[in-house]
Amino acid sequence: MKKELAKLHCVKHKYPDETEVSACGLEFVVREGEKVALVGGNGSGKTTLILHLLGILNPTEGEVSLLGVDPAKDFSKVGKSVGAVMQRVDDQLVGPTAIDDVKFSLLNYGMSEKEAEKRAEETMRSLGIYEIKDKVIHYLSGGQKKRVAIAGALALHPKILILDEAFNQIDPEGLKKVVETIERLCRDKKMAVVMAVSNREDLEYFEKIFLLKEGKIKFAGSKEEFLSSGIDDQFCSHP
Amino acid sequence: MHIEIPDGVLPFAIWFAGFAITAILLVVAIYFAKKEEKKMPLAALLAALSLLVMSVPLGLPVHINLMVLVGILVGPFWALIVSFVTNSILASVGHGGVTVIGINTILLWSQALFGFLIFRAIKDLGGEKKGVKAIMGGLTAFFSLFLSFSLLAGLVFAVNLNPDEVLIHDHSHDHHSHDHEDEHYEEHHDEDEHYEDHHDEDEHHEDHHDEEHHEDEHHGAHDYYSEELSVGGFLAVALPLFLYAAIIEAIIVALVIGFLQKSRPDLL
Amino acid sequence: MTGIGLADYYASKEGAFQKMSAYSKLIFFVSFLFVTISAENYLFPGAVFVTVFIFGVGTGLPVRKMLMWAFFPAFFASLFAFSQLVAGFGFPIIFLVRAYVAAYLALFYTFTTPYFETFTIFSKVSPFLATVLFFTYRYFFLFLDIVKNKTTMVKVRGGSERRFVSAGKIVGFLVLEMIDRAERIYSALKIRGFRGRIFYSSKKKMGRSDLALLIFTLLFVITSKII
Repeated sequence: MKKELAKLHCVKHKYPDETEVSACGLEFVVREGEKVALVGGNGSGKTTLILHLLGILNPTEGEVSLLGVDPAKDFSKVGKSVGAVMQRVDDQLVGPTAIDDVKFSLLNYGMSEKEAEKRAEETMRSLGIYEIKDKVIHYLSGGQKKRVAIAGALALHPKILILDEAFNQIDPEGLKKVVETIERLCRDKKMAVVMAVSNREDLEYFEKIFLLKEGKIKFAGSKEEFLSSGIDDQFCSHP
Repeated sequence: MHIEIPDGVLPFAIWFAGFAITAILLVVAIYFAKKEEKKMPLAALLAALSLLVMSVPLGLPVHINLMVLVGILVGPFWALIVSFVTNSILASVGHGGVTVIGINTILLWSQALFGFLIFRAIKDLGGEKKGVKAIMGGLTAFFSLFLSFSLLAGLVFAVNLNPDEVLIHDHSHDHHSHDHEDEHYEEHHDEDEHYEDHHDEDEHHEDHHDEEHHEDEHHGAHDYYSEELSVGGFLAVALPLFLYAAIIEAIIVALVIGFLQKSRPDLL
Repeated sequence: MTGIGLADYYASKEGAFQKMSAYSKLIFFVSFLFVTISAENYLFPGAVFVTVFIFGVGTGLPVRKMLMWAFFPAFFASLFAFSQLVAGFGFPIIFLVRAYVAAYLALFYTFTTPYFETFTIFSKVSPFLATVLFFTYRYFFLFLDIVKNKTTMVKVRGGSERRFVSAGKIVGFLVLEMIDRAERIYSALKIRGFRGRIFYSSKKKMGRSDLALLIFTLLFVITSKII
């Protein structure tokens, strides 16, 4: 049995203004090497689930486990092995230039400047963004910023990659390179991928689907089961 | 609202002291700010916002800066850091001056500090009634700005812009200046000597006794000089500008505080 | 585009001065600033201005805009200086000249040196403050984009006549956006392993042009002290 990397069981979180969000229903589990898609309409709870997985939201009820720890309390213990790309990439891009941003996590986690530079360049080359490595972040297009953010996450060679609608805005050519790189890491390093998806077309890259509706996990199974069940038409937007 | 002191106006001792005091305050502020690391993005965002609103034209050459709001939202330690960062970046685009970053930082920070203290004291006076906190915010802004402006006027008074104090006179070049006595001012190398004397005009004149040819050249400047005219002249121009910008800023702060009371009361 | 935005744009270009190391440009800037504010007459502020103007034209900078912007601090200098009008015109004018030339010099430095190179030098003094400077710089452009989009949408939606009200709403929106954003940013930073520092390494090494600039600066300063 493949090793369990992430697990979430019926979590609820209350915001300061009393708004409550939850992700309950079927159990959410991600194992080594799996490519998992979270699908659901707007406001279904996809981002809430991801924020709980990353420890950004601390559940008032329920349990979350990421690489064996409670991420809300001990994320720093496993952070080096987690790559994340948020829905709004501008929130996480901090480097002055593109390559500085890709190196950011590597340097913060103690890698040497030389090694970090090498790793960052390799990752940017594989994603097809090497030529913009010295460009200042705020002069990049939306798609380029997304790829830089993904590069920053992949450069860590993480055990689990968590993405929130990260494929939006990326052109087909760029997306092909991103997917190839992710698939190679899944194959060679048994990296797991969890991604919130809103486009039906993006489902082709994933093998396991979790469907959320109104904060409840309504479906957990393979992509084939999901597509043949007919419920995908109700919840995925078409391009 | 902020009147930036540019380079070349204040005497060396004043702007150097400004740097020294600011450096000491920053060491203290950074020590406490590190304990509230979570506020770093907010402080940086506020600094960025402050820089952005400063480019909003108000019709006259003054601008708002929302430093009172900064003080209310992030507290005095982070507010000092925001003030320093804002002034440094402003100096880089010719607003304010590089040598006076220290002084400008303190003046700008004073708005945030007064804002923090006054708002803390009066914010709950009207209870949770609708609009009361907003009014308190507006009043806080206006009075904080007024106190800061008073500091600036006090600085003008303290510096006491006597030509002999501000310009560095070079004794070795006396003979070059004789031809243009109304337009050329010689520079003194020994500023300390002049700071002791600047309140006493008679003593100041005695300093020039040994340099007899200097006396004739300087009479156009310090014969007509007076402290009252210095501060009065400054106030006559600066006060109306201050009032104009301060009222606008107070209204904006009031609106923002009212907005935050509804959406994020935890921040107040 | 605001001054900061325009400066950043030109500083990122491939001009002769832009290629130089930030260290040599900083030494040049500080030395010339010292000459300006300690000048006993108009000769050396004038010489500083002419030198920097020529450099600016040669580097392809927007000198007209820079000449205009440098008047802003001169106005504030006049608040201090013209209160001394009774002492004759010469005294206030020296303030204006100093303030103007110092501002123009600062603009030249900023238009030829990317902000993050200066912050990197500053990080040797205080990494903490340099980090805040980096963030501020990054978020300034973020806000600039937001404001551009918002003002365009206000115009498109017919709100441009009530300019003051629209401006107020934009400020209100920005404040709320900023607060929400700050929390998200902090979370994102923690996930990315942020330990209180942003790293940036300048690729520019000192070359012959830097040496030439430093020699020129030294000669200029010495001359200003002799004459």
